[in-house]
Amino acid sequence: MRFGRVLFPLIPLIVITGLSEILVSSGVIPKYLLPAPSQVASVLLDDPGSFISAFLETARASALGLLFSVVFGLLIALILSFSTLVRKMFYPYAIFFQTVPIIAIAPLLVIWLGYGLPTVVASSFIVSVFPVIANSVTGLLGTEPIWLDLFQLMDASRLQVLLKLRFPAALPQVFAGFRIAAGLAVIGAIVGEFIAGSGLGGLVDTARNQQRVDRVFAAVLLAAILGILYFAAIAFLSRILLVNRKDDQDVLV
Amino acid sequence: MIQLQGASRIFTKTGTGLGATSLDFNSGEWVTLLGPSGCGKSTLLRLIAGLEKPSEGTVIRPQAKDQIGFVFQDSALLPWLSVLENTMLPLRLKGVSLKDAKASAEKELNRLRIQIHAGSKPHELSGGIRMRVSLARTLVKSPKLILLDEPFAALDEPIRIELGLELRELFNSLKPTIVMVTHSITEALWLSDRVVVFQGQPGKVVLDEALGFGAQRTLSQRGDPRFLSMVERCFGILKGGLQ
Repeated sequence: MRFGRVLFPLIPLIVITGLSEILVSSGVIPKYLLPAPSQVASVLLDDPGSFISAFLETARASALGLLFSVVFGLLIALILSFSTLVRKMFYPYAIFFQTVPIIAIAPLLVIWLGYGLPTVVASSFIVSVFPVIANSVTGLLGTEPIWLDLFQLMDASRLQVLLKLRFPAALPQVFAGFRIAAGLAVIGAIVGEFIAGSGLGGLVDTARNQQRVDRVFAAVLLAAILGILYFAAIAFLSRILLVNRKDDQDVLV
Repeated sequence: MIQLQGASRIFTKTGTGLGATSLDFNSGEWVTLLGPSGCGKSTLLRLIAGLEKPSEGTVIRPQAKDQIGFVFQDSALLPWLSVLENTMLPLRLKGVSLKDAKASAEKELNRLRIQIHAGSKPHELSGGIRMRVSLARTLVKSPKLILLDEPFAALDEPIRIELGLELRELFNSLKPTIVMVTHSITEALWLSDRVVVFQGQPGKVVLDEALGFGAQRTLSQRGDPRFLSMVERCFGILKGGLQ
């Protein structure tokens, strides 16, 4: 089963890579539109230093953005779920926040925070925080009524209900939010880097100006690998924390 | 003693629930509520537990919630806690120290002969064991009143009988007040001291009868002519309601 989990996703990757190599090498698709996979690999191998450095910059910024999203998103969700009044007052703004296109506010971030890491981290945070809030609030409010009855019969305080019942019961959905946020944190960082420079986003921007499609693809590939690494790390963490929870099996798959 | 004085709880959307009901439940008595779905049996339990407020009338019950134990049809165990942790939960929420809560929980697990499962998670257990854990979690509070909402509904017949007998023995030794809801006429008559039959939507009491089968229960009692005639009587009432 574990073998299948690794093998099956590799099949389409191998097929698509092989097919694009053949189509580009044979001239069916022009090289300036789509680089052959071998060309992308050679770009990465020819100039590993700049790619590694850009990768690490994006990794640092997106990791910080994701960390802030996880911490503040969860905190906001706990506050929103604790009080109906607070939720009614502030949840619409959380939704509004999500609908604002990051590309439109990224220049503002540069004005407020300057070029460099703070802007990129802020962009990553803004894009990735909403799924954490939305999933966590849904999970925290979706507690089985029978368990709420049970806690009421045990005369539990509101804080006990939140911390001993709602929060642990919501963990599968909380982690589902983290997994969505993981990919978005990388996207947010890349968008921030488009404007603020540096990292894989800056590298893509420069390569685009130079019409270097192969370098764009190499950077995109690294960004995707980064997103997958975060996703895998969170899935690993959730497997450890949610071990032996039959109710979580569907969410974990 | 628990008293319902003209208490009703009617769900306006469906018209189901409990019609105006006056009943007394005496201390140390096992009363079983019988009736078709939607006649308000579970609603009555929830009214007694304080989980619902009556639409009309009053319910007099123990003021302290820790005197009330509730066993749900679904064992309602928390899947992220072990059997021992689930059993300790009521005490931990009350602020009892870990050491004392653990000792009390282990005592109840021993009493219900499930101490071997103390470290297991609920999904690793059979339905019968899960129900025993749910009972242990209820008993750990030493409640004076135990409300059982179809506790055996999801169990196989042999386990129902075994658990029913054990529960009756526990009742005989601890003497709490028990109010149980079931759909099984045999189970109701075999386990309890008194049976209350409901009919209609919203439900009304159509039979309230003390059974007088004594404290001890054996399987052979279910073949007793007086028991069988009572089964027939209840069946007739419930069947009449359906027609």
